Amino acid sequence: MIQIKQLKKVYRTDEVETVALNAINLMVEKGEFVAIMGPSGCGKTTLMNILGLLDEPDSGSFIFNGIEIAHFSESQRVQLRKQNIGFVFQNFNLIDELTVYENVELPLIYTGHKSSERKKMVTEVLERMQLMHRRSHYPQQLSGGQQQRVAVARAVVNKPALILADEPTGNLDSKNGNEVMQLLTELNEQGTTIVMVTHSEHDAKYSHRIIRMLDGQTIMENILV
Amino acid sequence: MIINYLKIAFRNLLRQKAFSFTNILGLSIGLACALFIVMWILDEFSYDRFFKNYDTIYSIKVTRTFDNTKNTDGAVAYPLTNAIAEKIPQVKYAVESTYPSSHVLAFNENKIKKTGYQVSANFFKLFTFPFLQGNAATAVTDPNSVVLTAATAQALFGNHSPLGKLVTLDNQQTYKVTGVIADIPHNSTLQFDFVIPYSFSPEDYQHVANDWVNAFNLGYIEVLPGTNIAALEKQINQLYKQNNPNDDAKTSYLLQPMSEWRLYSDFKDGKNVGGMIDYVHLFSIIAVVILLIACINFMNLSTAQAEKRAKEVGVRKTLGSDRASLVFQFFMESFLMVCIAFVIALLLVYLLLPSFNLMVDKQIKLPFANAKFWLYAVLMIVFTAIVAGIYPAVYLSSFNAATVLKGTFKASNKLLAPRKLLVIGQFAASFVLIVATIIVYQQIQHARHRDLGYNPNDLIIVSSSPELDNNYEVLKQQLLNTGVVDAVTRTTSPMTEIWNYSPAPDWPGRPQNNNFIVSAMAVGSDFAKTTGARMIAGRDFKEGSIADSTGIIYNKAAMDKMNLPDPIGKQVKFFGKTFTIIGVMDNIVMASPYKQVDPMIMLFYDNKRPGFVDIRLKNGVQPQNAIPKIAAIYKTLNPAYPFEYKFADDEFNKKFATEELIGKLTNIFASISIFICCIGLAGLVSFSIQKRFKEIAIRKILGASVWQIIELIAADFLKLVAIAIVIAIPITWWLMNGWLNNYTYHVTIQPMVFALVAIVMLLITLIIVGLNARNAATTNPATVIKSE
Ligand SMILES: Nc1ncnc2c1ncn2[C@@H]1O[C@H](COP(=O)(O)OP(=O)(O)OP(=O)(O)O)[C@@H](O)[C@H]1O
Ligand SMILES: [Mg+2]
Repeated sequence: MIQIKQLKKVYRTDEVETVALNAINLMVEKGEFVAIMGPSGCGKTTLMNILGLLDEPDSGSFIFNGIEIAHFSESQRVQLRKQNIGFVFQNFNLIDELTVYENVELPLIYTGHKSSERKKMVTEVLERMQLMHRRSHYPQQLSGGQQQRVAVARAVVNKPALILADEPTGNLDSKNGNEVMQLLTELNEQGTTIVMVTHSEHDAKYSHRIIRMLDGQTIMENILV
Repeated sequence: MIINYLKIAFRNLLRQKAFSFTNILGLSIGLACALFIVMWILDEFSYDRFFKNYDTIYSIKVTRTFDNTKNTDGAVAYPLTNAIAEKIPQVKYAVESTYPSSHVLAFNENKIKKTGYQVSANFFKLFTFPFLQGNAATAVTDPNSVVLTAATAQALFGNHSPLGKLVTLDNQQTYKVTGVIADIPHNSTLQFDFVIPYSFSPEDYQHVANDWVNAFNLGYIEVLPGTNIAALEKQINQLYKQNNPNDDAKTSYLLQPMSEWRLYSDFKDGKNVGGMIDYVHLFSIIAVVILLIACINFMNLSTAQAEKRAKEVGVRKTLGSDRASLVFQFFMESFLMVCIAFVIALLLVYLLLPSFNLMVDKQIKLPFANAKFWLYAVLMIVFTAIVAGIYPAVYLSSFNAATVLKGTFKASNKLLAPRKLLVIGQFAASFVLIVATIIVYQQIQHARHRDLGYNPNDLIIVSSSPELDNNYEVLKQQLLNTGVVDAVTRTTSPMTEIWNYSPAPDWPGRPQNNNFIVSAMAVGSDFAKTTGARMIAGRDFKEGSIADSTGIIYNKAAMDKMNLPDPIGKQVKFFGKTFTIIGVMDNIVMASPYKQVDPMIMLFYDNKRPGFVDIRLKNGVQPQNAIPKIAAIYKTLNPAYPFEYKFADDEFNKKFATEELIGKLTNIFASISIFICCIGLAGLVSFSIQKRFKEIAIRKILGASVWQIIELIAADFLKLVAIAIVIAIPITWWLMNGWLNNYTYHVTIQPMVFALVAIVMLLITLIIVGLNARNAATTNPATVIKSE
């Protein structure tokens, strides 16, 4: 599904040049559950942003579902992203002014689903995440675990092929964290490919494979299962 | 303490440059506008105040009733003022003057055309025009004397002393210069270049001094302080009744104080109905509205900005600052900005004053020496600072220290409501102004393109003279021989003015109660041919037709009133003489282009009183080629007079001066108000986007396009503007309908205008949002999310 070769990303500020990704290579098969680990500042989030088509690499090749997309334009990337990729963030990134229901509904609006369809899909996913009774609450009224469940619901409502999760349990206690990991595992079992960044060896155990990074490069691949 | 507050205020102002700039710019423009309006209003109220007896001078107004309509003007019969002065002790002076008219003043070879009138001997005792030379008390006591303004004297005599020199008037009589007065300031209702005393031959005087019916003069009185004016009016009316018991016009006199001459010149049904004062009120309202719009900007931007300073408030409160001193601190910041804005506004006014004067046709100077101006200025600053500064100060100081410092502070949503209301108010006001501008413009165009019933283009009007009248046939022939002239006629008044009114002639079979007033003019042969007026029945006056000296032509409006079948050939009686109707003419617009045409009669021109020669140029002839040829003929036949000509269409266009001025002013104020609104809107939009930066990023990650983001932000603001428009439409309709009803001949308000302005306004909103939102919508969402 994902094939990255010699990918480079350099951040330039006024004085310093930071090489965030240094000719990195990476393969993720369809249906895999991959965990990325590494020290702070090694380029994990940068890699996730490129995988999620939020950012462009400076050079190298990125093949997504068999198509070379390194040179894609902004609007092409938006198109591809909103149909194929769901995001889960460490800090949830829910919109405070919208209710749980409206937050989950949002991706469907941008992919152009009809209102009746949206209702069906949102209800379905909220039920699965056991959030139906919270549907008209605002994010501030929920616990961290509940908020992350809403974020996961929002990530999967469109039935994306790939979910990118950047430290999804970083802001949660272990009980809530395990719940989220359980959810991701279930989704993976139903066929969704998952790439997850984590600092926790415990969480990494939920994955099929751990990719370790250091200074913008992968250092080894460790197949656990 | 205050110094300390000001220092902090100043530092804050510098720290938030964009915010301060937007705020101060909007305020300065609003204040400059208000200052201009204040100066204009002060000037309007300054009229005639330079007269020493400003408070005790009155003009005499007369209401006469014809055909059940009351008409009020200043025309009084000659004996009236003398009788008042003689019989009524409370009246200190009673003087009169003729209506102003143009005459040629000559000294040696120097000939100039100037406007002046005849006045009573006490004229300068009542009107204290300052004399530069001569004696005010005796200047116009001798019938052969003339008083000139300084500019007129300068034009006639150059640097020679004018006093005692002889001036020839209209190539006939000579007058001795007995006085020179300072040039009359623009803010005087009385305007003239020279005055001469009344003078009559003994026989004429016998007649005039006893004629209480014909009214060709303007009357003024000065009363003793404390006089009861209502009682005085009664006395004057009684005096008139004693002298003219058989009055069939139900004449009634009233006195108008000098303070009302300029601003309250209009009468309807015998009562004063305002005049210029309506525009003074209108512009006062506009000044306040523009100032309010600017203040609203200030409030909106300050409160929107407030969230950024929440932490400062929290820290200050924990350090023991009480609410009142916080309010004071924030108010000082507003006050400082208002003061800076005011200085900039003064500068703007100073720079733009010449253009403003040119536009409003005034000579206003920055009234730095006028205490009243500074009083208004201080009031303006205080008003603006209070309106703009108090609310933000109270709002900012209300933040709760605990929540702010815990970081859970969120600007309350309550605030959104008043801020939204303010934006709605701003845009509604701008909408009203813009639509009003368009409707005023349409009305002017409507009246200007009205079918006048004759063709004013390429129609040249030249004053006649006794000499020219005697040589008229020769003049006409020579003009026609030039090859550039199509037709020539004569009229007793210019084509764009009506000078004579009288009761309608008596016609056979006239019902008892059918009497009405007609405007009257004497015209030469070929009148219709020259002016392009259309004959509906009968014919034009013909050259050499003796019978035409007793012919009469009616206009259509008069015929409609008379209801006389087959009028041609019928005989009517007018001032004891019999006239035969030779033609009926379609209505021609000579008076107000906004009113229906009044009934009118035309008699054949005789040589008793010189009027005007009207010259129709041949089709396609360039006026600049024709004028020299006409001038040459004129000079040989009329050497005593300088050649001066006017075009009928130019004269007609002068009738739009007031409306055009009003149109121009509202146009400027409308543009400025919408500009200030846009500044404010841009500020609000950028605050709103800053606040929603994270939300925008999340939406983008979830797949929103740039356009969808712009739509999202625009929707809120478009809604506000749309509500403003919906509120403004009925208000505008009501206001403008009222204004248009002042004019009999007026446009109807078209809904298209509302629709058009609404669309443009919404588009502007969209553009402002688009420009501001583009940046947010195209920023990489990954970086935004990360910085959270
Ligand atoms: N917008 C940016 N501009 C400049 N440098 C950046 C930018 N974003 C990231 N970097 C740098 O790139 C490197 C990789 O950053 P990245 O955020 O990918 O690290 P990370 O592995 O996600 O770290 P963490 O575990 O702390 O989240 C770091 O050195 C960082 O300072
Ligand atoms: Mg990271």
